Amino acid sequence: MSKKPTSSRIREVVFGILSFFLSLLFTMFSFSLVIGSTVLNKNAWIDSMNRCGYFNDKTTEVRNKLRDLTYASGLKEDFFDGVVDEIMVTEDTYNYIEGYFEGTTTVVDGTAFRQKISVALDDYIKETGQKASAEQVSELVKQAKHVYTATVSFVGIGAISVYFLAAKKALPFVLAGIIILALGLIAVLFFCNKWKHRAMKFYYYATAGAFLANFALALFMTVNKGAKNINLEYRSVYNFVVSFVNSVNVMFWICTALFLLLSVALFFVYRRLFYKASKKSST
Amino acid sequence: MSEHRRHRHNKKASGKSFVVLPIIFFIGIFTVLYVALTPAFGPLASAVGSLFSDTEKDYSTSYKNIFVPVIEETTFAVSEEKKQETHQETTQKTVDIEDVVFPNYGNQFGDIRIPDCGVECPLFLGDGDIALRNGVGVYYGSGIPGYGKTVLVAGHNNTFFNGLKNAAPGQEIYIRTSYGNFVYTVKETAVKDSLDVTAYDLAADQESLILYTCYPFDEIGLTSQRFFVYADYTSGVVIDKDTE
Repeated sequence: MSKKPTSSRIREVVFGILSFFLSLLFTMFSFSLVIGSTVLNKNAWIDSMNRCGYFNDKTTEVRNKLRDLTYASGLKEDFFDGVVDEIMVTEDTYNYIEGYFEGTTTVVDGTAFRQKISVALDDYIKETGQKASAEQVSELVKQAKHVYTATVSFVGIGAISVYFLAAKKALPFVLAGIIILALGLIAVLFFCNKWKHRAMKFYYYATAGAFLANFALALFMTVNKGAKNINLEYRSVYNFVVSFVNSVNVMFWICTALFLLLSVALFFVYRRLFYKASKKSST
Repeated sequence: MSEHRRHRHNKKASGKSFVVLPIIFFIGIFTVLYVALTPAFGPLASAVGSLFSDTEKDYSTSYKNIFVPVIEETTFAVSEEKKQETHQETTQKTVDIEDVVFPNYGNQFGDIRIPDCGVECPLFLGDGDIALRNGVGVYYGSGIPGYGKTVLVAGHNNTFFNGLKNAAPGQEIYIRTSYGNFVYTVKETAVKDSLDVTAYDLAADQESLILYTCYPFDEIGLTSQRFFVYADYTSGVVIDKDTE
């Protein structure tokens, strides 16, 4: 066996490993990008909520929860319907999400609700002339506020707030790191290959690998119907999560399509350069 | 270039590696990500996984009613004569435990009536929101009628259990279920704190019925006081547990 084919084979293996790492970086980049533009993006949350009618559903749920309180507290059944409205729920949810993303709070501020219910209760007691001790009314306001804030907030996200904020802060650096490393590998593959069709071949391997990884994830999410079988306490949150996961799934399909297009394009560029090179070498 | 050489180049331009290597890369990517991310995201992934079930969750606020009265008129006796008749019918009946369809949480499995208090409403297993919106509920940790345990029933004081304010010793409470009818007699009433754990004994071996609701009645607001109605088992079908 001659010396030349052996060194060529070693070079192939080394470049193959480098293109694997490039493929890994492409995949990590697409995953990070999808997570960054959905899970870690406040606007994506709000868009999903608006799309699935979250605020309207949530207002109904808050009213229903508070209606149960009227049965125990002597108030007329529809008392809270006049206290809670969609604007209040929307504003409190916006502030809650804003605070969560900024890392300033993990609880819903029920101050506006508390003020409104206190005024409404005073009016109601005066109007009906029913007996009401200050202590019992105070307990009712406290319970109603608790019901309101508990219903508006997302169960469990407070517990992962630290990790969420850490991921949000780290994401730009992670993306920057991936881009730098990927550009480095692209440059190495490009400049270390005299025949450029070879560089294109390794780029093709990398993008095709990333395409398959994205495709597998997107397909997995689609086959499992996104988050359709998730068990959540409130229908509004369920609809929001399902809509949100669907948009994440769509993002993965977009990444899949982009990597497919890229890999097909690179394959044809490779073929063109390969024929050019073989023509050149034959002449 | 010779035909042979051109053919060799064409073969090279679209070799097996163009399919095999991306697949190997794909497997490698998930292997690397799995090994790298499992320690950090494993617990989170299993926590998220536990939220999923095989079917879509039912968010309807309707409930399952498994209650089919055994004998329509036995517990709804209006005269003393009829009450006696009821006692006779219920005390003598024995039901095999295998024939009893034990209700699931949230099911309406019977009804309750206290003629002297004007209470008449559906009886659920569990005292969740849906149950208390539509009737009264047996606390899930207590027994159900006929099982020889304490039966603890909750209801709202401004709806179905408002009539309990008229409860007095000696009054009779009728409970109908799909497996038999029961009669209890009010022993006493008491006002206790909601956190008073001595208010009931769920581990008691003797069957008794405890009804409770918020106190005081007909006032606006929430209170930490509860109104308890204690009733002794008087008669009802006997569940034969030996067949278990």
